[in-house]
Amino acid sequence: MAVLQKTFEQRRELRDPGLIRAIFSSTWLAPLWLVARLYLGYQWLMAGSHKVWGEGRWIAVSGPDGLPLQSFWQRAIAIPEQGSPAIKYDWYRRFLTFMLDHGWYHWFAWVISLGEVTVGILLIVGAFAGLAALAGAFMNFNFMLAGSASINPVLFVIALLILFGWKVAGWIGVDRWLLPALGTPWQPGPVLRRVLKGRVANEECPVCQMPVDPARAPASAYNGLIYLSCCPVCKERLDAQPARYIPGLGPAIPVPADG
Amino acid sequence: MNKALVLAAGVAAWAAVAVVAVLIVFNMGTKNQVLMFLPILAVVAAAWVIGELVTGAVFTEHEKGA
Repeated sequence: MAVLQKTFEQRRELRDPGLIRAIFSSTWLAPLWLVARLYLGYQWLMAGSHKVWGEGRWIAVSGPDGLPLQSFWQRAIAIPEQGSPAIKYDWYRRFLTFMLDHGWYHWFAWVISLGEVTVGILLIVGAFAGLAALAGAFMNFNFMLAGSASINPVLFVIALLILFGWKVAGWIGVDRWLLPALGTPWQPGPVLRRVLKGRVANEECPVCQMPVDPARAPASAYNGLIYLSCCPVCKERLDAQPARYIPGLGPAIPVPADG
Repeated sequence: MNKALVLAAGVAAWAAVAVVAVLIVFNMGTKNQVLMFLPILAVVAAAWVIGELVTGAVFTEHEKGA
């Protein structure tokens, strides 16, 4: 126990070295992220365009949608008599087999095709670049799990780098304006604050009258309004006896609303 | 300048980037990836200039004044 205490009790926050902060947090390198973003977005847009409007497209065809995806999955799950199978993990083979058996390729082809186009466009315009990169990396990861290497490893690495640099990856892009306006759950911007403001009923904890942080405070909903508590303990007390802490509240049933 | 107008200009500039990128990919295929990349980069640069000099300037002034 003493070892654990010694290791963790101080809760130190280790700072990144200057070089790492310069790469992933400095706007000076935004042009570099722009090039990475455009390359990645362009590749996704190309890949998606083939599936959406190419000659061998996956969707919006005269027959059933998703037949090329069905073929891809069938090839992926096949276990050859000689050599090693494309898929190394049995759980992933079972997952693809399940989707094949249930005919999911019909609608999953739409998800993949439109997902690739959307990721491509978002990366090119730099809107939610981090989330777009995450979605792209997830698709690369799945293609690789299914045994398709192609350029997926390269795109995966670029996507991860953009994900780490999400704060500045879209600086020369829509994120330059979008992220500060929306804010984050831990630091809401004008838009989020405006959305919350109309529904939040209190600025002080109804239980102990301490000021509440709208970005982090645990929330409860009563009669269509959000009541913020200063801490989880006060939230428990509020939810146990809401009528005691909220003046004029009838015997309403508490509805949890996290965030 | 009207805030709504400059905001619309900024949004339109970046929407144009998306439209141009899709049109380029749609019309040129994979023939020359470098040639396809350059016009996208050019239109991104144009949108960035509009964002910084037109939309951003007005909204930054507003924030300073507020």
